[in-house]
Amino acid sequence: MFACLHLRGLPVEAALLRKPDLHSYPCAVLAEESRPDDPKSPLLAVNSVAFRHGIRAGESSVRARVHCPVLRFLPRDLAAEESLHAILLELAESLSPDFERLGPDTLIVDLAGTHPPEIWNPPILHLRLALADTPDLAHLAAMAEAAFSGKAMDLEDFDRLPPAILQRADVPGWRSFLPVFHLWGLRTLGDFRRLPRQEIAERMGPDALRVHDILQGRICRLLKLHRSIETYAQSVCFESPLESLEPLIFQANRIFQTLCARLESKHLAAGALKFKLSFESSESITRSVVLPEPQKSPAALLGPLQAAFETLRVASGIVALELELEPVRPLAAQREWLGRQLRQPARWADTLVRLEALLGPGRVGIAQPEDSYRPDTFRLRPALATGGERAVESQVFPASPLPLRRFRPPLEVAVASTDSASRPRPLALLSGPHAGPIRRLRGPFPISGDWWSAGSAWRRLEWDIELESRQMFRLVHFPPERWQLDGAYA
Amino acid sequence: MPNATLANLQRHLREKFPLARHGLAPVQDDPIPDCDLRNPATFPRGGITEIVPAHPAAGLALVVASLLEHELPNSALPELALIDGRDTFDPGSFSSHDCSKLLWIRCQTPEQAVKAADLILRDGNLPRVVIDLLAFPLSELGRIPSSSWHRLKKLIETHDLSLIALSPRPLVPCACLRLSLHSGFTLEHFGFSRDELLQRLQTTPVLQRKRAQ
Repeated sequence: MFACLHLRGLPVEAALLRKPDLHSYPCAVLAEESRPDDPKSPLLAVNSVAFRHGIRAGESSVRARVHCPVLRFLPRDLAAEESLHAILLELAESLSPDFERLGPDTLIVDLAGTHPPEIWNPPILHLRLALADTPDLAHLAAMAEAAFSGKAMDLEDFDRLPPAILQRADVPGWRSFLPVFHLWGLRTLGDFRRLPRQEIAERMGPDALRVHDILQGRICRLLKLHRSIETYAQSVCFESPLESLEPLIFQANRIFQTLCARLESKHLAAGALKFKLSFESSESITRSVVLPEPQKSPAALLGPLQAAFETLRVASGIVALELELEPVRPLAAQREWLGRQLRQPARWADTLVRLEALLGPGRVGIAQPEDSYRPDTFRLRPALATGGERAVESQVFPASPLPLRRFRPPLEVAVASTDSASRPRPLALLSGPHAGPIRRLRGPFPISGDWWSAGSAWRRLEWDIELESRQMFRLVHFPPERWQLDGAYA
Repeated sequence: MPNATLANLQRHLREKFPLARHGLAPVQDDPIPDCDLRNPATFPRGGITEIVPAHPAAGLALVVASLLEHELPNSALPELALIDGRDTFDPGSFSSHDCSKLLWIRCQTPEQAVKAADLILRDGNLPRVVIDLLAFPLSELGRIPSSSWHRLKKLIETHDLSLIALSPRPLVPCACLRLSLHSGFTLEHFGFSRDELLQRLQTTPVLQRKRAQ
């Protein structure tokens, strides 16, 4: 079964939102590019009162004035039209996620698998809802003046409708065959439906034949589904500032319920969540939490958010909360059959989020050395519960058999060295916590890179040194006179 | 207090309060054999192993390398968590394959390191955790309350994990195994391969306690 939502004269209804006292008067909105003083300006839309006076959309303004001297012309209100259209979309989505947008004022909803509404309380005045077995019949039914009955209109019900319904529904080709209907004395759609199909095809062409088939219930076309642009963000403002965690978590849970339902309808999951807290002092905090594994349940998202909230220290009450989810595809990979599995993957994700909340972003992960000789270049990849990407075997191998314990940042030191501008030889460390004479050394090892790109070229001389205290360090010289300790070989 | 007097006092207390040691077996009288760090059985499950360097060039950085040696190959999941107390781990000193077996947790303070250890042990997904406190001054390490170590020990016992603490001096009051690392590396050893250096790692157990049954 299909439903059709139709708001006749949407531009007029939108314009009347600002002037509700004019509802009982015949009103019209002129086409956007027309001027009210132009007598040939066409009417874009008319309200039901004007329609009852015989005024139709598309007529010239002067002709409409002749028919109805009390007709009022209203300025078009595009913002109000958009808000009415948004209400229509929201209403259609509440019936079913599958619907077609025929125009800003008409939507056809596929009710397969859902319960059709039994009672119709229109949220907007003059919004019509009609039910039928095919999309086109539902569209025609919405054009009729019949009241909502709670059930699909039968083919016999359509037989009583006048052919002018086809014009209102803007059926393709109505301009060619409606005059013929008049000439042939066809007063209802039933008269047309009872004509032989073959004769109609020969005399009136394919458009009329298609209408005939629609009225016979033979055509049930596929809907061109409308997919609105989804946002996975929602915010809430609090009447009184929040000063504890519990009500904040409660509100976040409510928002997650909505956002997760949206993700679920698109078969997506959340890969990261971003939150913004606004405070009484007009300050705000924005944080982003990357989830180690895509999640799509509110409970799974609430844990990381709560962990992030617990790390915050706020000075004033919270007046607004904004949450946004980053949609990603859910994990579809099968877990390894032979490899090691985590005991509790769900807890693993939560632990990683807590660690990141404790240490800050980019402090937890699996190190991947970069394919470069530039010192201390690596990237951290997330440790997913499924294992994620495997390590790419780097072509750069460890420079020394004894691992370096790196100083971050490196220790700047003063060094006594032989006088040689290009290749100095260090003799002793003169400053820093490890000052002392150098007993032995290996080097220098000149290293350079990125010399082909201006601005990022680097060059350094390295030594492995051993002090009298048996401590070993990596000493680096940047010509002409800068020295630093990169780390210790402990 | 002279050592003889102290030993006498300890003996009297042991006789008077035999349960006061609460499940801890006395230090073994027999000499403890050397421990091979590349053998996973060296590090007892459900207890804390503390490794203390005897001198600055004892090769403590090789401990992580030795632990990575006997991890399962071809697993995309990390097997070992390294709680890097002062962010001194150098990925460039290891192959990318070794790095892929290690979850690197980069801390800045001893408090962060202990909290991170608490989280990762409470999680219980990684069987072995290394906490590296070598780079901190002793004054900062002294501020870690001993109750924190006992709490970590309870977590380890609950989840049957293994915690290896690298510290500049004996620090963990409830360590079930304390190893002294006394191999001496010099610049001459830079000509050896890493495997050869790992074989030259020399450890001596200085404390060994049995778990309470």
